[in-house]
Amino acid sequence: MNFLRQTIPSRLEEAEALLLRVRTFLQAAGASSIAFPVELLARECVVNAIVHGNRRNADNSVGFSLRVGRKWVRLEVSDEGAGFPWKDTIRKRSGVRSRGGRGLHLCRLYADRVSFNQQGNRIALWIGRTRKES
Amino acid sequence: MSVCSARLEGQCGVVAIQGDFTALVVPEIGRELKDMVAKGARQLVFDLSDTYMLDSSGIGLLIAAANTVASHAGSVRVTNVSAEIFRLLQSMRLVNRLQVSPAE
Repeated sequence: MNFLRQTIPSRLEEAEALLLRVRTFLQAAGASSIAFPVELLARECVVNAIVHGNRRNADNSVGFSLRVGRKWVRLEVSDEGAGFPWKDTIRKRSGVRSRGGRGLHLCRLYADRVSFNQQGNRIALWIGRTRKES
Repeated sequence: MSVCSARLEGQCGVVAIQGDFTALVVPEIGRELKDMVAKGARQLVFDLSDTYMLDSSGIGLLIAAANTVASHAGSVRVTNVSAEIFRLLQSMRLVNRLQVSPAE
């Protein structure tokens, strides 16, 4: 079984439980060589969905799915928020003294492909299993 | 679950994190740091020898700590990081700013 899907309420404690499950899942799926970047991207997207998307409203859910294929890992995270203007934000980069704004930068850095739905409340990332080191 | 132990030796604050350094634990570690800086810490050392994961929230806290002590002529060192975390900080161009050293 190389597919993990879960819906969680918008609480960081719930996210932590999901992300620890992702760690175990990646090992079991034989993807340990890319476990760090995949878990990191999952963390960035899930925490963004809770904090910025759903604004920590636990009544709103975060959808998560992860598929480990032979050549690719595909990660998708959605929230129930209004979305954000991803076309304006995706190319911005944080300065070395800036505390925030690194989540999307990490997505660009570690994922081979990043896409959003039009509204900007669902992100999908592809990570190649034979990708070069960052 | 991550555990953070912090001790102050003169002006040097040492923070050892056992577990992940991520959004869930950043508020608690941030409080420890604020307390240490209030008590006079000017050099901050983060020991990540038992840390597997560092996310953007953890990176943000390291930068905030570096900004805070820099205003008192202090600095931050991040020590004993894994190869994955070293590559992450290197790709964010933070190795020099945070004086990052890998685990031996």
